Amino acid sequence: MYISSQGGVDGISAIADDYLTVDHCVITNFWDCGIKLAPSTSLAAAVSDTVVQYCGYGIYADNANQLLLAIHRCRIEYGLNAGIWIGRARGVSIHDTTVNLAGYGIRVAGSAAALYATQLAIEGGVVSNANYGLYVVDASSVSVHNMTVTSCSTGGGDENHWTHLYRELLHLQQRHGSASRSW
Amino acid sequence: MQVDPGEVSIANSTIAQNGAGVTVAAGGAVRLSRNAIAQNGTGVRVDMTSTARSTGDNLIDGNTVADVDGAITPANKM
Repeated sequence: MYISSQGGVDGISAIADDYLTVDHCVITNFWDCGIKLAPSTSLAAAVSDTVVQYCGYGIYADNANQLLLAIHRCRIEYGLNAGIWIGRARGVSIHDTTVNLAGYGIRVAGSAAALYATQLAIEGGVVSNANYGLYVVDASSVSVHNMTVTSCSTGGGDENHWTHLYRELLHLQQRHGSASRSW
Repeated sequence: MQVDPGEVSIANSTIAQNGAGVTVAAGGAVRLSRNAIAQNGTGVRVDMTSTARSTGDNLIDGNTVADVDGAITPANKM
């Protein structure tokens, strides 16, 4: 399935407790999230063999209750804010997934006030050309195996690279019709 | 990769050609085993409040500013 923004904010948004499977989709040009997983109740979701591009966030997941998420063999590119953003989530796995050209490649931001510490396992995959390749904050536990992180600036390490990347992403989003937004 | 704070274990991975390789700050904790960390600005940077532990079999070399900035302590390898 090909899902392209016709003025919509999010490509796929899970709003209620249930199971969600996204498989073999191309999701493109959404101002906020390509896939947004932030329901008010528990959710189990799987995203596989899917391309998400030219969105503010490629995949955004945050749930105060319980969120289980598996991301498998996806390609996420041109994410102005983040390729994959994991907030409060209990069991997340990312397998053989590529994130290219994003503010944060993968950002994991747990919360000490959440019911569970955020737990994430990454197996394989590449993050490239991001400001932060993998950025982990707060109550988060992450294990990484067989992953490659390259050509990322990781914070203030390379301001020139970051400025160049920002301009390139902004240009690409404007060219593809998505509104720009702040970082 | 930046841990700021949080807890991350990294194994068999390549972190190369980044502005900074692995940065651990604000009480973060990282464990390293069998990784290649090369051709970054600083390979591994650990601030005074954070910890980095290594099994001693990582390739940390050829980083332009420094391979290691801060303390890395041995991790158990059993």
